[in-house]
Amino acid sequence: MILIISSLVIMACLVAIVSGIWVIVGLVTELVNRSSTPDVSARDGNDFAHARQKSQDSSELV
Amino acid sequence: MAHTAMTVTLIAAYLAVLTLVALKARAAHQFKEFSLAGRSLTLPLVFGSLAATYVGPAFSIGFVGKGYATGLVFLIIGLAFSLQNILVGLFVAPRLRSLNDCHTLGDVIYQKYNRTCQILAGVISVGLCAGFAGVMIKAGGSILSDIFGIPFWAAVALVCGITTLYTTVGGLRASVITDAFQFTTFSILLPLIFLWLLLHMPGGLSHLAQVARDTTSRGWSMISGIEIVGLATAFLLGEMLIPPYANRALGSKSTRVSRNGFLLAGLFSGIWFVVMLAIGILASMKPDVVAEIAGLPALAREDQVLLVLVRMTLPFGFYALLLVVLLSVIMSSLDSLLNAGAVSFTQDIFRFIAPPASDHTALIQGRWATVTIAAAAAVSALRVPGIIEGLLFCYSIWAPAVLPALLLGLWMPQPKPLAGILSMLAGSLSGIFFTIVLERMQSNIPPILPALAIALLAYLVGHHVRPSQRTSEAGGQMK
Repeated sequence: MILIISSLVIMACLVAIVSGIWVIVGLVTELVNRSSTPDVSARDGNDFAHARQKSQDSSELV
Repeated sequence: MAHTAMTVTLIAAYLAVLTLVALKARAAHQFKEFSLAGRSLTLPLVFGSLAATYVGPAFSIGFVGKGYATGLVFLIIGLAFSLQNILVGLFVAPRLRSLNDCHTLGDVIYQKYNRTCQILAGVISVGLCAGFAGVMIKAGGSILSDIFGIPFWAAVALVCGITTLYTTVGGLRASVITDAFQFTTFSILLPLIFLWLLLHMPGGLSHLAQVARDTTSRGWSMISGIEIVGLATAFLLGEMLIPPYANRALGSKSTRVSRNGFLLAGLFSGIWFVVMLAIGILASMKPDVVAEIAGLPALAREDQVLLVLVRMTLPFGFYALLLVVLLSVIMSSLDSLLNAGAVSFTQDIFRFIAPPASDHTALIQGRWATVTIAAAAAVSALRVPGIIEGLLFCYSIWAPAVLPALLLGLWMPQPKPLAGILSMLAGSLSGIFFTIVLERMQSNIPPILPALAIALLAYLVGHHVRPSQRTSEAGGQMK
């Protein structure tokens, strides 16, 4: 029991830290990708009907 | 004096970095961007944001206190929450993501029932988001008030102002990106603080494990069977698919990302509970900490364990870091609630009162809704009696009010609008009623159980009373 609890605690700490690192890598990747692409949404967001139609984009589903 | 200056500098630097990260997320220029982040959220962002949203004061400060008092008992109860996320990931999140043209749970309910049901779901969603946000603002305001020595109302204005600013401008993407940053902050710092304490503990890990075993054995004898059932039910259903979680399911890049995001968030919650409970157990091994906590008022003891432990046993820099961590825990939950409430208000309620002439108008409405909900939550924060009490009240209403109609609507071939309306009305009212009555009777029966039973009963009655109206409304289903 002592061994199980010890292993559980250490594993939990390590997994939590690794999860944090994985998310920050994903976040940096996202920010880098966004800063390297033009902000197209700023210039094509004026037509509500057009935007609502575009939201039916089932093609992006996997 | 030097300590205060260090804390203030550290927190100011953290808030500056957070603002920079939010600015990098860019302002939302379309309502779809504001409400769903363009349905392009990647797996690390969905997972980090979900975890950052559910890890609030209860899953950090609260669980450390429970570890201190009852060892690992709350790990078993907390696993009900992990199971909930895993079940949602396996069965519900992909189904939500596969629906087209849905910005909110209200939209989902509209597609399954009718417009009245959507408005009702919108009112419940906005009310609950404002209620949850009020609790978060109270927790954040208390911390900032302690740090800076400013009046509580000023601390509330500061927490609320910063969070509202980036949520209003950037919408869901800013919320998710800052959540991911905040998740990284606390998921790395809190385990590191624990490991540092463990390294300096005589007897180390094996001593901790022995104390954990003994405290857990004592803990089981302190809690009754009905309390365990009640708490496990509240953890299983209380936060299931609340609007911020549903928004992340709907805003995911694909059904696969939606499913895996919830699965990973569910697994992480189990890991997180172990770390928090272990910190609490470690606190119970330090005689000076135990003596300090014993001198506090009984009701405040468990909530103070983490702060007392770090303040009394670690160098001051760690205490300042902990305050940053707690602030990030609270703000990451708050921004998600504000955004979800604003999107629901715009999409489920206001659109039918004053239909927006353009996407830009809808976006402006969403921004104003964010500010309005934040202001309402800030006012309610000044009146919230306690953090845990406030959260339990919200849990007791949400599950019976929305879950039966939502889940049955997703799975049944022809759900009927009357069933949805009756279930949501009966669930909301019975949730409020049983919370008040059972608390006054000091009963151990969790209000969520009878309220859920009544909501299900109301759904069954509505389902069998009238024939389906879907056929007559088929033309109105597509927006």
